[in-house]
Amino acid sequence: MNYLKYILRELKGNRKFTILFILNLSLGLTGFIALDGFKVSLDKTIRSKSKGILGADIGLSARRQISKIEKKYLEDEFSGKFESSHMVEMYSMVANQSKKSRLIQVKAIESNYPFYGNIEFAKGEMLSQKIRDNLSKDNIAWVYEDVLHQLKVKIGDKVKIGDTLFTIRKSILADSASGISTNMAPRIYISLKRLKSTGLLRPGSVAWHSHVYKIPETPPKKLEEIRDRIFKNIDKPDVRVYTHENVSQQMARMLSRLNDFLGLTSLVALFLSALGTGFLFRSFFRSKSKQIAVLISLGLQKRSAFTLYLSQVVILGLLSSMIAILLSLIIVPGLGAVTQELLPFPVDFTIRASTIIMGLSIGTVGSLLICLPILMELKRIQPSVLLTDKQATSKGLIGNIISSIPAMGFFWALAIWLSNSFLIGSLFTGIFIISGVLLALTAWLIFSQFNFHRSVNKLSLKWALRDLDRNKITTIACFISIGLGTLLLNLIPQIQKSLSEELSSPEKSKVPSLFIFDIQEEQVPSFKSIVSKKDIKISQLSPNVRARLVAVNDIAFDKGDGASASSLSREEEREKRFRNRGFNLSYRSELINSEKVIKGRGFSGHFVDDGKSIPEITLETRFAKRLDLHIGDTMTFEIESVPIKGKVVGLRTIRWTSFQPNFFVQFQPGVLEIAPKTFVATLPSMDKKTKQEIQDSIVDTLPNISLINVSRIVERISNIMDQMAWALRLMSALCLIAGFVVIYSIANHQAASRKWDIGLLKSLGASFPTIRAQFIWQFGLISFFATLLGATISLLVSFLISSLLFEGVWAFDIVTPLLTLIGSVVVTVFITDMAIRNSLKVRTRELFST
Amino acid sequence: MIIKIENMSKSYLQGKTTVNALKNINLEVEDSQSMAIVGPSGSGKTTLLSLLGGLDLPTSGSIKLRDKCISSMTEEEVVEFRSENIGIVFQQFHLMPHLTALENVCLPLEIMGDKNPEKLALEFLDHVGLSKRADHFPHQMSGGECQRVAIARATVTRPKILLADEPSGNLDTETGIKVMDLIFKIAEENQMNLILVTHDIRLANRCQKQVHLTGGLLK
Repeated sequence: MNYLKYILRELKGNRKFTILFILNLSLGLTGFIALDGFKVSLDKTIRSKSKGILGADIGLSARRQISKIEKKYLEDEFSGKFESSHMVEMYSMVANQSKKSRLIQVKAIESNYPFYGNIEFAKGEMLSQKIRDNLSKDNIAWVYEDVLHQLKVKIGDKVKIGDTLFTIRKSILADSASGISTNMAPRIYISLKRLKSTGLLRPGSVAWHSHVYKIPETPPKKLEEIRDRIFKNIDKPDVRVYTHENVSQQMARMLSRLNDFLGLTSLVALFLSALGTGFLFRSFFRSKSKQIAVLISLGLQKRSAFTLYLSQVVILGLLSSMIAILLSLIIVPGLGAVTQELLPFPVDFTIRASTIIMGLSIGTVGSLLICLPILMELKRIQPSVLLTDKQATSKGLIGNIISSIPAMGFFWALAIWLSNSFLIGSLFTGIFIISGVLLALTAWLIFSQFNFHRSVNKLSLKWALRDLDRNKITTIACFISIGLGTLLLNLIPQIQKSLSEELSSPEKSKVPSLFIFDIQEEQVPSFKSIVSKKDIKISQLSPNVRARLVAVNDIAFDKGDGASASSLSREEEREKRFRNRGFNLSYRSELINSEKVIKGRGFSGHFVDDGKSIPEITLETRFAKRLDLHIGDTMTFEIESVPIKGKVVGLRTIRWTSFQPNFFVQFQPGVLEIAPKTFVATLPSMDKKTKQEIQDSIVDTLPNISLINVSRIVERISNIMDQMAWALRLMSALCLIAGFVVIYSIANHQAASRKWDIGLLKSLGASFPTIRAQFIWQFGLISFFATLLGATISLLVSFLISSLLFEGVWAFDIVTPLLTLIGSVVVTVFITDMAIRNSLKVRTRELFST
Repeated sequence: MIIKIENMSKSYLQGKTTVNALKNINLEVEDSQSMAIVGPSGSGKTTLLSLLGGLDLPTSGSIKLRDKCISSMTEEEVVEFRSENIGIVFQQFHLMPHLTALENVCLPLEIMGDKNPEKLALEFLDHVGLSKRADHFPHQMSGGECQRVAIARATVTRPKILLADEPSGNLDTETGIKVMDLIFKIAEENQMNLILVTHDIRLANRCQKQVHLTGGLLK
């Protein structure tokens, strides 16, 4: 037997099934492949640039001077074969000679930096040893082109950085070490030797001190080992050790939330299409059972028949994957547009061989696993069915569930892999299974109540209710499928809504116009005076005390092990990063508008040290969750080597998009007042002219203070959010289409499977409207209850996922479930009606046997 | 005349070939007369029965049942006519598997708008000797019992015409004979026109009229 010829003839002969199968599976796979293509492209580009981004192999950094001992830990690892370079990065206001100022990222370097990568200046001039040496010879600055535009200066002009004037000697066209931060504020390079003269480095100033190293011929794996050892040896949690690969990973992390959402969407789309594929194939296979019986009666071995249909599934899986790959080729560059605002270099977004292989494998293995349990029914097909009217018995609900275990296992593994989290992957699969059980139980309960059909007068409704009551297994199977389909369909818009709410740009009138930081304590009166001269009232002026956490409940705070980021799951990685940061503490007697105590209480008043009482602290709720802190726990901080202990009395939520000075940890007044601190302030919305005048005046009199033009940042964020929202919408739409294809497949399958009943009712003289109404009632009721329950579960699931994956951001959205409910019922009823009309057209002569 | 077929032909396409299933059939059946349609496989027996039941339409010619031309009716009109005038017994029984015996018999009455069909349906079940099996589902009954339920269902509306498609074909000889006896008895008692498709000459001989179909032609 020529298998291929037979298969192709089958596929051609069953065009509707073939097209629907491919459409369904390729929709599910498209999201998956597109996302992998997106991630791989991003990862490869960033990795290829990682040494250039850091400018070195490995580095140490902290928001303070790094001690010689800390440096020695690292240098001892290199056995003398290394080069090192010291640099300081900070944000500062830089003014031109007309005193117009802008926030600039100042990077003070030594002449040997960077070890890798390059800097391209105007007219194609590249960084040379001569240019490097010249930087330290005078007050010279190399500036990004944006600096020239923003400050309206040119080569040869002078700019004021802190207390010192620098001459612009070079403009930079391309810098391999430009990072995401340079998109927010352009960069100026000066010599480290000249930094001191600027007076920018003051106690409490926000500045990053780094020592980077070039260790020739050291593979990334060795660097990671070194990094892990140093991480363990340096006991100060505020010192970061990183390799060039860590830096690139950190850059990719900026897009992690987007990736998380897209990952979830693609997983949902894949689950949906798996559901649809299962239904479609079941429907197709059942319609072929007699044909298979004929083949067997003609001498075809069951094994061969099995191979025949298995090959058909493989071919369909391959075709679906190929179409999905083609679709992904269009989507991936679209998704890539999101990165334009975030990444300082272009990324080549294409589908790579690894992604193609992965797509083909998932398409074929996935469809095999989905269809295998159905194909196993082939064992039960006997040629004797041709002589009787008996159908091959199906395995029943339990049998179907058991035989779908391998497919569920496969999707579980996929979920873990895609989410890079055992917890989230398992949670997602678990929720899916539990929802299925919940749906089955509810369906059983609902339809068991339908035994009142005897007392119903309306014939079509009576038959519908009776069918639902009597055909419970079929009804429940349909109910579960529609319910799960709706759950998944509704889940993505629900989470998208929550995310959009979180990411939405704040109302422009309510955001401050200027965010000011690094105000030294002694500069506060001058700052206030400058602002009040312009008749502006300071919105917020908050103290900022730099500290490090040393103990929780009197147990030394563990900064976590040194496992490298690449080997960690997302939860571990986030936890580790969080544990190793320094803390900004503040104090205020009352909450500001952007804060709300949701657990515990606010402060009892001014702290009075009686030798017994512990000062009160309130924590931001997500911060508390990450560190597993609860009301009543104590935290011990170290501020300039002085330990200060506090007791948690309340948990606060913070609306970060308010752009007000908000802090994870706040002490009650009367504790931190004597600690060394700087101040952070915000000024309310004001006209452009006043804003520029205040800015220029501050830069002139208090040059170390930095100001962020919040309006400009908000605009920038809005652009990024718009692009992200586009990507979210694109993937959600994919999910939505996949969802409706599933509902279509289910309704079509159900309607097709009732052709025989329709024929019989016709032969008994039932009128067409009665038959149609019966099926519309029947599937309408199933669809209504299943959608209602599916949408309700999706609300709970979206809450759970939002809490775990997106850190508790959840917004209730009634519109989506309502639309899904209406949409699903309408689609089901419409498709059922269409299918029933088709069935009614078919003559019933097949009911006769001879 | 209860059934009058004039110059009726039926052909259909099988791939690119036109198959003439029935050729220029002319047939008349008197009121209350029973008729057997016999003939080899592929002779057109099933096609003729389908056309008589209004389950299919002729390509040409006309079929008049009780003076009404069903071949010119819309399908919905045919369905309505069928519910009032025609009962059908299939070889494969074709009972609704999820309905009890009683509910299966109730179906045609419900279709006709009877709000309380149970009493009459039970009476008919009793008539076929199955009143004690009223609450049983088809899978809980034997083949003979299923066919008796199907007979009760086909006759419960007391149709003028009872079409029977090899009703004993799926049963053992003994049960088959009992089932056929029942059909003849009910048809006679209710003065129905029994139109029986069969291969069995003995059964055909029990009918008042026999027609032979060969290659779509009536002899």
